[in-house]
Amino acid sequence: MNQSLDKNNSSRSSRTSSDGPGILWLFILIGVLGAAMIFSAGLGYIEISPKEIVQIIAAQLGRNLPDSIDASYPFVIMEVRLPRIFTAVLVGGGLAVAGCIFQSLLQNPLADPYTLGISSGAAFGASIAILLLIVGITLPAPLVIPSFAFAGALLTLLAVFSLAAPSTRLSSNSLILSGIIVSAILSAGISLIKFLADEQVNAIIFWLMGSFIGKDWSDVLLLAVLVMPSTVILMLFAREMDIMTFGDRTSESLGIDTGRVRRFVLIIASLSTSGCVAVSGIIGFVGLIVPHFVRMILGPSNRLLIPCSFLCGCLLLLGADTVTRVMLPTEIPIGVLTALIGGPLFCYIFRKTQLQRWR
Amino acid sequence: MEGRKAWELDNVDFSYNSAPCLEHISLSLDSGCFYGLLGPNGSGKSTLIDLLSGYLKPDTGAIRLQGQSLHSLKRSELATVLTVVPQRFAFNFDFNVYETVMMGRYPHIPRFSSPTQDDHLRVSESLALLDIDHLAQRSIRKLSGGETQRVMIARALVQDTDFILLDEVTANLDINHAIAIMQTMKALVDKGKTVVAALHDLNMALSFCDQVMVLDGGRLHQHGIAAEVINDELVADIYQVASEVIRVADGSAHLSFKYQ
Repeated sequence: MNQSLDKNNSSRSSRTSSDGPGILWLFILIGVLGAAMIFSAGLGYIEISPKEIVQIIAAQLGRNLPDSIDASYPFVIMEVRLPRIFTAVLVGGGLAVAGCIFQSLLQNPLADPYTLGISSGAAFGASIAILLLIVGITLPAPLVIPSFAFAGALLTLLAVFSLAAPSTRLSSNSLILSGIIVSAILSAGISLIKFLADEQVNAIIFWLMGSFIGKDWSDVLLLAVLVMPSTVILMLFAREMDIMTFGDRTSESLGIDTGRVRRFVLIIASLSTSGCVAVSGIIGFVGLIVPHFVRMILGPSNRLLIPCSFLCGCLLLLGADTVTRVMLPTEIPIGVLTALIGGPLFCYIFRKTQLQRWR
Repeated sequence: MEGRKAWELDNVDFSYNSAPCLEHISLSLDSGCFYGLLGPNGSGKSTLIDLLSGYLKPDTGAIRLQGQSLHSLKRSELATVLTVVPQRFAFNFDFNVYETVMMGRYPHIPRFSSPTQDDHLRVSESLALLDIDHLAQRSIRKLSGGETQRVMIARALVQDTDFILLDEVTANLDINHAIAIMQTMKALVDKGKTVVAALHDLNMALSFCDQVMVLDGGRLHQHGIAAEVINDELVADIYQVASEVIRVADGSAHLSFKYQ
């Protein structure tokens, strides 16, 4: 062992922190996602070829629509399928990124975007809106359920943060515990609303299971405004989040104001999650398994983990939504399907990596 | 650096949930010295390290580093002059050793920049210095306690700060690596850096530290030159163990403990 820092040791580690393979993954995923979106848009009751889809999209940008294309196709693609596809993609990406953030910042691989009770808050808000509609109180805006859900999610976040705040650094444990307590209270509230809704309880149950049916461009716009900027902002904090997985003492000795970073980043990730839940209802599992899956392949560094999780989240929900929309005789709730498809796949991969670890 | 004050503590008190942990600590530490922080379990060593690093704020009293109030400094500024190797770490994700050590360069790498050739060189040197270069690609979660400890020391060394705080970092190490780390720290002190190490091994303190501070029950029991402070009287007083100081030909001394 060398005894002094003076020693000019030229022995380099074999490792030269190269992002090459990671960047390649990013490009591959972007390509696959683009192709998958076009492919998915062509599937359905009316089958439309990828070439025709490209021509229809080009027509929106000012090019002439060829006569060979049926006049109803542009409507099917632009007003029915693409809004739904973009909604699924943005929700999947948003939830997966939020999952990464929650796992890193709460230093807990079991965390997901709903750990702080956002899903319960949104569900509570949505349930109130549905109950009001059931009892005949008409509310003005067409987005009434999403706005109630969004408000519910934000109020829950506020409650969880103020409950955890006395701990100076907003510690992971106090945040997780506060999330669980607030969720439990809200769940009881939701049960009460279901009880009050009596025979019309189905509307609430169906919303809770999540769906992309009937989504339009206003939903896509809301998601794009919340999910895309949050993802970019969160990517800027990748290094801090890597370091913060080592604990507060180490992070602070490296110059990170852990309390401030944790608060800011969790709020951004929660806003994005709230938007996703408000638009599509509660879709579990994506935020938990996608970051795990990507971490197994690309390692834990958030610099690649965040963008790759985003793209994998997009792909997962796009795939699941396409399956339920096209292949199944009746649409089953998307949240149920993601767990049914993703669950066993995750179990298989998890088991495999665990076995490798102990070998 | 030498001759300037490193830390100055004026009548510092600290309590956890109103249970006093440190009381009336006044200290003045010189730059360019190797300080040992001694005391039995629960005497407040880790809390004092947390106060010196700025992680905790004192309830009353003031802490200055190089004449400036520690808490008036921004965290990012502090990270370029002060590093700490804590006693415990969280390892929830599979970062490899190289990535973990590279995190020590965080205060020196601007946002939107990648590590430079110099950053990589420093990391490689530090890995070699701590005898962990063969573990560079290994997951931090698959290391032994001693290996982990050396990774975290390597991380602190690449941070390249003038002030280094170590909280019982030799506790998990075999004697070979423990001595090597103390020698590395001694070499850094010889180059003008200031090291404060919380230690349990009194003989390590005798061999390597210039001065020692002894805590007992949250109060500063003694502070002075290591060879003068560490003796059989102190050991009996603080640890209730009988001992004898044995001087060897080269003038150095070590403690021999007596027990049945």
